Amino acid sequence: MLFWLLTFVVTFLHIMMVLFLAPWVMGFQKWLEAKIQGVPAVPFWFYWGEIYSVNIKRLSSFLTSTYSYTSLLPFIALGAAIIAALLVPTFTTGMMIASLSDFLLVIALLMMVPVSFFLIALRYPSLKSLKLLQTTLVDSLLFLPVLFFILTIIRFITGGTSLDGVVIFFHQVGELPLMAYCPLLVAAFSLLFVVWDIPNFSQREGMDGFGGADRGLLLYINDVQFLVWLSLIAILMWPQSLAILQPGNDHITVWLRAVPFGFLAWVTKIFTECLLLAMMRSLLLFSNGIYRVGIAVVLSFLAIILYFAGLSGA
Amino acid sequence: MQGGIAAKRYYRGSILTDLENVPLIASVVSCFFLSIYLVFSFATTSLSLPIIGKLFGVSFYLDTLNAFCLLCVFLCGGLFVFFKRSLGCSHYFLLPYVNVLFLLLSGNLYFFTGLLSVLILMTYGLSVGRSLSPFIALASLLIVVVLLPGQVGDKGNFAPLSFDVLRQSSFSPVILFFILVTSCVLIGLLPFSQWRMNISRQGKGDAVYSFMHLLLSMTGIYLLLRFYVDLGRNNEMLLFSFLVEVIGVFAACYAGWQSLVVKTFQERISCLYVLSNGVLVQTIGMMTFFIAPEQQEWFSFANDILGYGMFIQFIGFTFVFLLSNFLKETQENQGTEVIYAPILISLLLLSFLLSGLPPFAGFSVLWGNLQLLLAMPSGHHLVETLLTTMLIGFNAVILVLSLLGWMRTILTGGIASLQKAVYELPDYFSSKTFVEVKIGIAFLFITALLPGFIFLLVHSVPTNVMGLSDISHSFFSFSLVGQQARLMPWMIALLFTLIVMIVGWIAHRERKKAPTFSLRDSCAETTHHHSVVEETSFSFGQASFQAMLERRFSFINALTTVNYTIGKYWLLIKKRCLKYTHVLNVFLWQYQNACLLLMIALVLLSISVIAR
Repeated sequence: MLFWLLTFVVTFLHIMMVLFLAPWVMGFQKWLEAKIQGVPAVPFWFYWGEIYSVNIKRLSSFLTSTYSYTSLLPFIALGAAIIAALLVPTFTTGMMIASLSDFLLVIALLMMVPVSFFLIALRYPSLKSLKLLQTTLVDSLLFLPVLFFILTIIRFITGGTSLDGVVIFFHQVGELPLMAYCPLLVAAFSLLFVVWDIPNFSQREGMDGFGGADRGLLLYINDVQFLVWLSLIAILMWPQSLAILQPGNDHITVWLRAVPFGFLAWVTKIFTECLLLAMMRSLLLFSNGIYRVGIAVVLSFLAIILYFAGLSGA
Repeated sequence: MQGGIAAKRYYRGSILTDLENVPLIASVVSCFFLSIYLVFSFATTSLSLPIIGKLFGVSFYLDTLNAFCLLCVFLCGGLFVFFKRSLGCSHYFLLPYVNVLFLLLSGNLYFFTGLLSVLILMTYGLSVGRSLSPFIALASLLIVVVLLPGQVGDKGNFAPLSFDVLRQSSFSPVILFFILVTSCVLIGLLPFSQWRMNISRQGKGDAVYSFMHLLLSMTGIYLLLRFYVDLGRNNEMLLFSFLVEVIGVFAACYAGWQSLVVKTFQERISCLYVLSNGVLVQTIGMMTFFIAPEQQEWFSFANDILGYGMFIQFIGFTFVFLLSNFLKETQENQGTEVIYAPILISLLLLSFLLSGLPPFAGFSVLWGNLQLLLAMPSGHHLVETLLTTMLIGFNAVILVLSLLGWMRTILTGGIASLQKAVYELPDYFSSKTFVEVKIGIAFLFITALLPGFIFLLVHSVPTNVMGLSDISHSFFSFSLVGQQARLMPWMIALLFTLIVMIVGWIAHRERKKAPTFSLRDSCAETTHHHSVVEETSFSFGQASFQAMLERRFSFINALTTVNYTIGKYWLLIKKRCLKYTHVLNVFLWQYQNACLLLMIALVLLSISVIAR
């Protein structure tokens, strides 16, 4: 019972942290990008305030909105994003719904978000945002092969597809098994191409035409989705840094010692990813989706080849 | 039969209009109970007719597979008969239906073959293009009929071969090959969906053509299952199961590509149906793969996936074809190409269910395929992993093509019609048009969630609540053992639905509490304004507004102060360090490609360093 309480508290802290930090991380990424590109940067601590002010407008228009089922669509997207955020561990494993945290399910939930964004855009007369969201939807669907390849790699290396399984596998092997770790790193790098487009959404042409009712919610959902993707990449980048929570007194003491480090590592990894993404977005200049898909496919296939190379080496 | 088919043009009768529904409903219900009984008792029933059985060897045969297929076909036929009057077609389309019912019940090979060839010839009558593929199917079927008695070792060549006997024996690869050819032609995979495309192009959404589509696919899958799963228990089957797998994969890819290429709505629907059948054929291939080695625990999983997928996709596509018929009717009546909004919304809901969009049923089937692929055994580790990787890649392509194909099908009438349909969504749920279709779609969604419910009740309550198992050490932790964990998408779908329902309920309640007025009807509703004015009045509103402002800006102010005190020196350092930023920017801008190449080279180098 105590252990259950502990897992519950940890899960609660995790989800609260993710939900609170999501706009900050997005703002930080955009700030970094602006700094690199040399354009005027909005300070990233204003970003949350922007969403907050938009949400105040949202409340006032929520009350006057007409009766319609389609006004529930942003909440569906929010639900998907929150469940995905619950499933992806950030600094510790063994959270309350850890047994559900399958990589495929996280992908599935995250793929719900662009679909529902597209459906939300149908409510509004702005053709510009509709076009943009349609393109985003098709692009993110085209990334599905990459995600399946990464799923295969995880399955090959750890023998399962659960995210906790990845962490536990890399903890159990005493020394760092480089040949198992290397494909994972490449897979993480190919996932960075998947999140490439997400910060674009909050720009003017993405939000063009959305009413006050959905504007703030959509911005917030986009931020949460971005942070969940980044946490997913962070697990693949450095799985050993996550602490493992198991029942048993000695396990819990070990966990207590490992948790601050896990938290620190998570923050560092998110910071690094934001920096990487900002550099890639400002230097690589692949504006078309299909090139990014191609590079990501090549990288994930490279990861599989690296896995086989590791087998032959052993 | 062809005369009967041609008679449609002259005869639009309505005999037995209401009475005919009674036996259909009765047969559906009885089939449902029968299939449940057969699933739990693992029994087979043979029923030989007294006189005709003596003369021709005609007998009936019933096991779980039969009963399940019969349930699907009864439901499908019941729907078509129910909407018969609004579809504007006569009774004659029940001829192939009765034929298929007898075919599913037939207990020996010759009876089966006769009925199947009649069905094939009927379909040949439908396709005016005079394709060769029905004759290929017929010819390979006849080859099987000639070869099989020698294989089984019965006395005479044309002594009735009952399925009780056939179940016991294993077949030579030649027979299996020809059965595969027949069933693939029937499903529409073999001449890469061209035959079915011709039929749908010919029919332009006519009820009979759609109905034949469904019946042919069901028959093909039944034939494949009947001969492949029950009978092959030797190692020669591995090659053939792999062949089935490959055919399924390539045909599904081709059909998905075609669904993006073809022009009309009905052709797209037909292609997508062939695609979903290809996914099911893949499942059959993997299922037969798991029979031979010692992996029986995956066999039941594959069986579940197959049953679930067959039911959802067959009944779902029944609704899709019905809707395409309605579409044809409305387009003919109104003389427009615009898709009527209720039809479009129904199709949108069905596309969620069938296309493979993540938490819904179509995705569950594909997900089951993925799980099976990852557990697929083979001789060599490298061969296994390479094949698995390739097949998973193709499955991903199938998923993408299916999603894009469904999107394209939905957007056939242009994006404006979809926008209009979404505007009319509240009216869709409250209006009385297509009530039966709506109820059917809701029923399908509930059925798709049922495995999740059953899972929750059967596994979670004893282990977590009653503490009957070892894994209940952490209460409410949703700990699961391996086999059960594979049912997870349904669990997630359940969780998802629950959350959406809760959010919807809260929003609904909020809306009820809220004063509802807009500029348009502000004159009509004066009573609600009172509370609003009270809340925003000067005495109350100003203080709360000021408090809100303070709350909002205090944090930012504090941060700005900190920023200022620290940033004074930071600004100086930055000014000195970043003096030459613009030079760097210009340099990068000029030599983008070189920089890119350098970065890729660096990444590859670092990878190789780590790899060493």
